[in-house]
Amino acid sequence: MSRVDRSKLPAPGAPRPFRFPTIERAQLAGGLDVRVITQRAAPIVSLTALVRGGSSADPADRPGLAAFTADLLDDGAGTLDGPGLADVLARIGAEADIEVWPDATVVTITTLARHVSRAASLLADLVMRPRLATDDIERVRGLRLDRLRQMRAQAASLADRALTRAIFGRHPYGHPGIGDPDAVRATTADDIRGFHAHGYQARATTLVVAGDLDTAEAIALAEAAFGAWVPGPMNGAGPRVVGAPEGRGRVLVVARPGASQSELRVGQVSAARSTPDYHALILWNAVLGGQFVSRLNLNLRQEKGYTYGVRSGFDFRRDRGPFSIHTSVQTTATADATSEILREVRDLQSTRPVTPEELARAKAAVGLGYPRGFETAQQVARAVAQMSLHDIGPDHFEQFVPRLNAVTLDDVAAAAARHVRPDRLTAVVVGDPATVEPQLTARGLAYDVAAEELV
Amino acid sequence: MDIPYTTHTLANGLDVVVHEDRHIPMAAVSVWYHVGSRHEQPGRTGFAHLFEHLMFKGSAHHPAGYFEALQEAGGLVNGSTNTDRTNYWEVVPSQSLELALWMESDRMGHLLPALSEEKFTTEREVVLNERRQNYENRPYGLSSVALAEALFAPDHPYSWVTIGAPADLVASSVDDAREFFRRFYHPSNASIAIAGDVDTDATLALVERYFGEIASGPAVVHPRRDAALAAPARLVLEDRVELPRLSLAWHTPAMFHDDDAAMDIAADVLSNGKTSRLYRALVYETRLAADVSALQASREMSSVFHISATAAPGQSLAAIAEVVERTLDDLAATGPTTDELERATARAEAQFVYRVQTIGGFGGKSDQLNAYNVFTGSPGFIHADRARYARATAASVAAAVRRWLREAPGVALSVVPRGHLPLGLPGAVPVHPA
Repeated sequence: MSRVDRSKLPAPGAPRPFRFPTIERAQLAGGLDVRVITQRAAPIVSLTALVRGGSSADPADRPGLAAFTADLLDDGAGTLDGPGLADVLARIGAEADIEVWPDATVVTITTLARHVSRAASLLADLVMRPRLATDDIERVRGLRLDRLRQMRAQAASLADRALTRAIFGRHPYGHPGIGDPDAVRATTADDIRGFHAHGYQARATTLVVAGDLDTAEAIALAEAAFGAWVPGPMNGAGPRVVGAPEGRGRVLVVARPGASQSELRVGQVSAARSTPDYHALILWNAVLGGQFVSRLNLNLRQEKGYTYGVRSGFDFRRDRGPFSIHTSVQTTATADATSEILREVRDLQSTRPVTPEELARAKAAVGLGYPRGFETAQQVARAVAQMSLHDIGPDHFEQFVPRLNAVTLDDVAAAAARHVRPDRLTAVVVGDPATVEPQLTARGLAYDVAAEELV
Repeated sequence: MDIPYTTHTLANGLDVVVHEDRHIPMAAVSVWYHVGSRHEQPGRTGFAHLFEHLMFKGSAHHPAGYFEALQEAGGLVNGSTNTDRTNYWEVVPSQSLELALWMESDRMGHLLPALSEEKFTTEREVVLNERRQNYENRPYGLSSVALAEALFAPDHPYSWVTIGAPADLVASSVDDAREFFRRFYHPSNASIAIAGDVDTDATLALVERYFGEIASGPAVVHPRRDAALAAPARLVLEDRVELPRLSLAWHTPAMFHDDDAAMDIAADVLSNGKTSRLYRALVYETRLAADVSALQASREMSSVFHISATAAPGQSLAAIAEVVERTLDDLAATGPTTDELERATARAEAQFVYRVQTIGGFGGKSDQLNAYNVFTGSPGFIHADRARYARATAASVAAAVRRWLREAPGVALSVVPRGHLPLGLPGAVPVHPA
């Protein structure tokens, strides 16, 4: 009776071709690097200014300075105060977004295409001419201290901070972008204005314009908005790359008495974006925990029901960034989950290496889905900004899948061996010490209790 | 902004909506079942969402998990449950559209033979972990539970949260799941929207082939209940938080009502950005609060308007409440200024454009077409939806604020650090949400 063959899954048809967007480039007289991508899918344009030197450019005694400075950009710039900026953004239906990454500060305005010229001049105001007024600095200081205080009650945030500090130590990647309360209190208006004056330079910045406009329009727009930006003294821009420390394997408990769930992080300092192993590591991670169907999630969620989900990933940066595993597990399974995670990483590099089937599936999952990342102007602007930050060649989009498909089992094994050392993984547990500590002891997992200043 | 589409209803009652967009070589499939936590019974809560999880655990002809095959095809797959509906979606390379339809139809038509006690028990543990992770172990996480209990009578279908009460989840069985599937998961209670790099005629034929053979099911009665509060309620909840927070909530009209748009505009005027009235009065100019937000949470039977503000260190919730009351009195008296109304409508208009940049996933065109189809019966409702915002005036927003936030009682929930009940509003009654 059934007209449908349900004995097997339908095979895919032939892949449809996809033309990756072309990136046009120009450099303004002041040194600003401009990259343009025309994308006509929707009447939207996304403008992204990426200024090299994010939270890793914070002075050692001023953690959080880059983020404090960035937070003030939309509190008044050019001829407008904070509410004035908010008014104009609303009227052009724009969304403005300021992010501080470890290696860059990124300011994005996405707008309806008919308002793009206004959006470009606003973006130039935010980046080049923020007011950084004393009363705004004091108000924002208060808000940042409030946020730091609230983070003390957030288990996930405690876990992230503890892992970062434990694996990077005093490396410029070793503090959270927001900094710490003492530094936020100590930061002066001169610190902020100096950071902006030295760090926000035309030659340290890439402007990406993506969306519903052509290259000539976009470059004329960039000239009009950013053309007055003259090259300044380039000192201090760009992260201080000092080489990452080697970790040592250990378990760290951050006490959260009575917690109903344990937040777990496992990680170490690993690979930089520049590594030739980039594609191999993406595939290795897809097998371990980079997607829903991965060894970690199948084990901890699907088979054991310990967690709502577990993920792993590399955060590729200019210097060596973290490899980390994130999950939240039921309190009674804390030690089991920790030791299963450590075992899965160990096994993947010894007794149960990536199989040919797993590698093929990972290539298919990552490669066939790749065009999804080119759907919106924001996605494309962001990807191109990242390419500029990491000095990635213009053939990156076209070559990503072919390079992925060229990775062999040996490549994956060798890459993992170079960048992930199971014996040096640090595990952080944020949970109820009365429940968690006896479990760890019974499991033979030696642990330290994190000192207060660590978190 | 327009989303051209073709629509068709199969003989078994399944609604089909197709929209072509060849921008990227991907196809989005969105399946909505018109069932959510409001179709549950008191004491049996959390079931619609738990059931959603079971839909990924395999079906008669593909008893293995659903993520494997779709992920291997380069697809993304997920789902979600709220009070009114449950949705499932795939975004796949367009050459694998047929795979996605095969799988969605197999679980719509043939789920139960693959549903085992063991799958049920493991997935219930996963959901209990989800609940603890997002509610018990998250600061202010239980305030949505407390608000739902305070706003609605215990037998009202919006009085429990979609994730459900842990005790109810523990008490549920695989037989409940079977019964739930038979009642709610069939073509006549579903709508499928497909958007992306697809051919309309070929897609309609594929849907007919894969879904046409599935039997229709019993008519679903969708609960309809009015929501009103007899008297104002003042409650306090102790939680693991650093700073006290005040959450205010009132009943407002259902999704797509004109006053629903008016309250959306009121929320924008009150808390969107540095020009907004509450942000200025509580954060920008006075530092009484660390943050403030306002939101019209639109739902099918009736909506809720929320205002929430976290006290800055050393500031009292009473002082915050006083500013909010005064601000609402002003807005109710004279409505938004011309500037405020222009900003809010420009932002709303832009949101209509931003919301349909993608073909699917959480949000995007296929989801939007399904939302309009399931809740209004017309996939093309976007024009009527936008018109509500264009119609709003200073007078209509003022009248809505007056009627729903001034003349009707609301709930005031204080969330305070454990051991600090006196930090709540005076006279607040302690609550312990389920």
